[in-house]
Amino acid sequence: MKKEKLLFGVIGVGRIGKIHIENLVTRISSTEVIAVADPFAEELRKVAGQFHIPNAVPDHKEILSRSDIDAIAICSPTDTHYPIILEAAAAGKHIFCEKPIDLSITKIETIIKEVKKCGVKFMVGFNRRFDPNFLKIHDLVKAGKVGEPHVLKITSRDPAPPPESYIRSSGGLFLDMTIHDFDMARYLINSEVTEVYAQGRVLIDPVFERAGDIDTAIVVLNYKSGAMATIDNSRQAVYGYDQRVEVFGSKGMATVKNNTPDNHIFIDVNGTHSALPLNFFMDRYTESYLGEMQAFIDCLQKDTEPPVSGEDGLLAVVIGLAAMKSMKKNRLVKLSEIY
Amino acid sequence: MKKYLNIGAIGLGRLGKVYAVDLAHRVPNANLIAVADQQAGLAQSFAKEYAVPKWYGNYQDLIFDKEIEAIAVITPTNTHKEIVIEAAKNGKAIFCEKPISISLPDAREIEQVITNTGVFFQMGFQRRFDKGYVEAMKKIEAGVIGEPVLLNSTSRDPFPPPLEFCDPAKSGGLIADMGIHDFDLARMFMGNVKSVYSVGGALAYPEMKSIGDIDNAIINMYFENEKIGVVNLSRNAVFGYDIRTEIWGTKGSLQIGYFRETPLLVMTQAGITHDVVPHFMERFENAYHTQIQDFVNNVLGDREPSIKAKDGVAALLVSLAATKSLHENRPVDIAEI
Repeated sequence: MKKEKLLFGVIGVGRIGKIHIENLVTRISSTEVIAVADPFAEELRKVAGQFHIPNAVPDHKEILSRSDIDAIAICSPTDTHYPIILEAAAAGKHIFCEKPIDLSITKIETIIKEVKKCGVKFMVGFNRRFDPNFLKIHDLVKAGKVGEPHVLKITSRDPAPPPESYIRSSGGLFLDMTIHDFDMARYLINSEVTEVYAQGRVLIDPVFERAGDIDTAIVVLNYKSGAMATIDNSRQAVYGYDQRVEVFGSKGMATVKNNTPDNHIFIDVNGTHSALPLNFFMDRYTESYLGEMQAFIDCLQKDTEPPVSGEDGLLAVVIGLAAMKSMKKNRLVKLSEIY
Repeated sequence: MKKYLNIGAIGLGRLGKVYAVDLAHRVPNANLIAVADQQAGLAQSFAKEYAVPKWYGNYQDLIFDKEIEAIAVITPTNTHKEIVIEAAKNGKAIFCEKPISISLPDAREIEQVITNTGVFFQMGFQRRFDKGYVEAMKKIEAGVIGEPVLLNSTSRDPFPPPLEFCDPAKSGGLIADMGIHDFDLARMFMGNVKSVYSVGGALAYPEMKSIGDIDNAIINMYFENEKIGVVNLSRNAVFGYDIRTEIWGTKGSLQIGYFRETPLLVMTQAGITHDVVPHFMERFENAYHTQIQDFVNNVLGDREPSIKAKDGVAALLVSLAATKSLHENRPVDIAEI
């Protein structure tokens, strides 16, 4: 695939779409975004204008029908992913798709089959794999520094809950939020997850109760190797975005702190005071969005397999569904019960 | 009020020695009259080194010593019942290290004897006297983090005790021996535990299987008030002693614990480094001292025990439920025990 530039179309110009567009346009020299699609005309016009994108269309099909487009980034709501992916694959476009691929295992299976059949590259946007902190932990574990991994701890807390309308259509905490942690749990430990035990509650905000969801959860994973993981989630950690991992093993432990805008410490008669963690995912994960897109483009240029595949997307959803079942039935659930 | 308490220390193992040295030197209103250990040689050499007037090769002689008013029981868990009951029958004030005993019937028997004899009995859970935990409790009571909703506690030993000690018949096993601290703290911070679910395995030391124990465990907790928690335990933190408790609430979070032992940071081309807390003796040195001083003060001041037998029983119940959950691979209600 040796061309001047890779030509991209971006479908969906919401929060995440804008991040990807900005990276593709301003920070990656080998790509050009020549088309964007979104049903919201106002937002579409603004984004196309801001980034000098020549083609702004209401319908994604107009992007897929263009012969000059090499690849697309799907940044539209989850329930639109499935039809767009199938159409894109049929049109021979390489696909970067935001997480989750879909909430249905059968649909994801179909997607995996189709992209393979059509011979297009398919990558899922589990961006945290590309965060410098988590990358480092991954590399330390891979290099054998912690020895045989025994216990993985993940803490993942949002600073504040999303709006009620979002919560209602999100698929629930485990598929919307914890799904990142399920992927991280697979990324950091080189063994497959076999069993899940989850407990969840509404302890912060009754809006979650109204929406039939939870806001606080602890999930335990068992791995084939005997290793275990705990994930604790909350939709509201008022002090900021709290994202920490810790891998404990036979030779040591690797852990990360939260990223802060700066690392000053101010000390007065009341003690020490330091900066709160970065406040939301756009700030916290800036480099990771760039890193994952660069990895995707790298695969296109070198004709290699994307580092985050449809199977990775599938397994994260499977674990999420197992967690939901476990919480409902208050027992350990084997992944084999789900998929 | 009496000025001094005549006390005897029973058990001179790793932890027993810590208490005995404190009582010998650092508790001004305690007179360490005697030490006892079933290894008579240990008792004798300790008495000689620390100028303790008497030593015994068995606990009974110490308990029958009329000069002794109070005893500290720092012996293997499966010996607590017989020693505590004998001491209670002989009217001694009792300090007993965790866990209260190896089984629920034994614990209930202890409770009953204490009630019947009316002796002073204080349970030993030193973390409650550690500055970090004390301050955390104050912050919670002051509403600084709002309503506590999630507890995430980690307790890891740098290496396991000798295999014979690890034997569940002697110590209760990993979950009871180590986890009981976190279960006691969980009750203190969050409220009573309703049910537990455990997973675990012998991941670093396969020989644990030969005695029917594990070296790594994760215990989920549901509290009676709907809150949730998770405890993870390990016997193989090769880098040091790792004790951290996080209490997360509606308005913030508290992180208790630290890694650095020596107040020194070294920066060279090779990197930035500091050491790690080695073991419980270092980490909880002050807490053990504060705790035993508190016991002596309470006895002399005729006050209520800071931690009672029923707290010991409550924590034991959680341990037993968590161990049962591990063996039967299902959530277990405390009420089942």
